[in-house]
Amino acid sequence: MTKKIWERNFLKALYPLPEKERKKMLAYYQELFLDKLEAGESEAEILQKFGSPEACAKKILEEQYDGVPMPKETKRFSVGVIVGLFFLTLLLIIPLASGAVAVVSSFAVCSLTGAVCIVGGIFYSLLSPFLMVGMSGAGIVAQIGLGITLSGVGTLVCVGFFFLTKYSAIGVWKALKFIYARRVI
Amino acid sequence: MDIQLKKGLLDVCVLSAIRKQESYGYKIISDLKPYVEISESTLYPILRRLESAGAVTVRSAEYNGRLRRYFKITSVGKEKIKQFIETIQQFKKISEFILEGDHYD
Repeated sequence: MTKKIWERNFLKALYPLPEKERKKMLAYYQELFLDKLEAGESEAEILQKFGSPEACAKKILEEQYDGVPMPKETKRFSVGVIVGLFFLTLLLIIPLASGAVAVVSSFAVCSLTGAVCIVGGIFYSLLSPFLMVGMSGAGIVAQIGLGITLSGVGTLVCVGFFFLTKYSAIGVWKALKFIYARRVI
Repeated sequence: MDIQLKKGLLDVCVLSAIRKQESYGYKIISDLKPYVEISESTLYPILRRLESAGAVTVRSAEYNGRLRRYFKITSVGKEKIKQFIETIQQFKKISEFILEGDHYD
């Protein structure tokens, strides 16, 4: 194990402590390391005498705060974290939210279109005989047929978009779950 | 040895090592070596404990192009040594009594 690895593992093992405290402890070991090196000990010898970084950290943590209040890690949001969260919001929340809004609004628009078609078609069929007074019998039948076709298309649009909305919503939900399961933060 | 007793003893050992003049981590361990073996990870909590109790003060000074932390004893620290000496004198009397009683067995 090299000095660098020892130091890295030592800092890792001291993780529950505030950064300032960890750096202070590391500085203490670094000072001892250099003093021992100057006294003629080799790097390997010194590290072997120090023992494993995990054991050193454990011993310090055990004895360190015996009777002395343990400094608490203060959670502060640095500018970097805030900017990071802002971009995370832009990257994740906005597309997902707009996706959800698009699904809901397209459902609303399509159902409305379908409903208008159905109602319009029915009215058209019912009113054709009265409106087209001057028309021939075949013309009236054709108008009624057109009205019925329109309401049929409206029904199909409604049903089709209901399922489309349902599966899109399920898709968005699955995507959300997938992102949450693989979250890094 | 009883843990609390040992802790107190080590605290006073470290204080004694810096009683005459200020000292630093490596020197404290080396000076105490003939009498008591203190590891690096044992010394750190002791120094921190003494510092927070006001028994020592710390200053950083440059040495060989790097910083070294020097520990200096305060009046509180000196008082601790004095108290400890009184305690061990009492202990001495008690231990003499205990040892004396041992002969009757």
